[in-house]
Amino acid sequence: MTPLPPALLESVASAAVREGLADAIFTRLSTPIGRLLVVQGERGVVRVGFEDEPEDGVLAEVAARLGPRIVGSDRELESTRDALHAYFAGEGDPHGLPVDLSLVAAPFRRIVLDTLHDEVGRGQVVTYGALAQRAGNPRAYRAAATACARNPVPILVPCHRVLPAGGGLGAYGGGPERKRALLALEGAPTSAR
Amino acid sequence: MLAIGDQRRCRAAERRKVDEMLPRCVDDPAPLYPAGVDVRSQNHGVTRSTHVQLPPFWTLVEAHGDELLVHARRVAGEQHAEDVLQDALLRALRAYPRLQHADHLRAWLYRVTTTAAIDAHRARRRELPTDDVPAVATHDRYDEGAFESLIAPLPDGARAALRLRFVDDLDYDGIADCLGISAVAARQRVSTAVRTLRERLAA
Repeated sequence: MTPLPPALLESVASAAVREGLADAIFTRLSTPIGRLLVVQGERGVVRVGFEDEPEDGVLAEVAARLGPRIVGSDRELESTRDALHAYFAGEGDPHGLPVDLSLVAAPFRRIVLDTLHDEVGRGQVVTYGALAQRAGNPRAYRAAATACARNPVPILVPCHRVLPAGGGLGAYGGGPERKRALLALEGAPTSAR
Repeated sequence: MLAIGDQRRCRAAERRKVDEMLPRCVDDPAPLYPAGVDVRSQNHGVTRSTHVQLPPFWTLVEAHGDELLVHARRVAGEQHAEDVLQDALLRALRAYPRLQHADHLRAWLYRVTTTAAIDAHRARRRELPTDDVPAVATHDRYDEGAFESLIAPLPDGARAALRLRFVDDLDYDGIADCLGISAVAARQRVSTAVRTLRERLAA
């Protein structure tokens, strides 16, 4: 069976976007920390999935929130891809990319991730406690840790820059190796002490 | 004020819209998941719920795109297959959020592709939808009406084989079972019928 030509899929996706039919668009990106699945809705990137997360599950999560009309297109997400490639090539922060935290249900977690996104730049690190404080509740470091653990848009919302106050790397949704690799890429310390 | 031809086209478009909104259940033998399960023995009750969790559309496209292209080649010919499939996927995407349930999505995509092929053929021949297509705007009548009028010139045995192959989406073993003939004979009957149709359409 001859496979579907990628050009055909791209033109279906482009036509869908032009017609306003797409609830979200996704693209697969090869990076030094493995393949990333990047899903973007109308308001911004809504989900970034690591290679070891089942794609169907990631897309279904987005579908449940934004709608089932999800299409795949590298071309439609070209600027997002470029920004991420530049980040992995060591050129700046993909900070300019709009992020949509719709998949974060709990209000405090959303504040935590917003704060992290807005205030902790490339090369910087912060402890869970300090992050909770910046988010307005210094005692809620556990909630801050949960917010990071369930961050739907890792890398763009830089939960890899959050470290335990006691020293060491701490946990990471994508696994500690990816956290270490991202911090190394950014030239940031890999421990808060 | 629309010209009469436009009005007819609009009515046909309306019927298609309805058709694309409702995947039929009762005569869809092909399940989406799990692949390879014989559901001819299963119960096809229509289940409706107010909140349907449809799979992400592209998951379907990536799972079934290759076979849909093969299907498009069969019903539209090599030359038009990709255009037809592209049109079919867009039609399917337009209708997708209005689906009443998430069953038989693969069979539904096959039907939308068949309909797109028939419409493309009509458009190429600048034919208006004929008045003998059933005027009742129910999804299954229209789809069947279009398909039936396409295969009407063929003998009974050939029509039965084509329905089993393209409406019911059975494989050749399944067609053989239904018609009481061998799988080889079933394949032959379908391919002869398709060839005959193609020759007639090209004429």
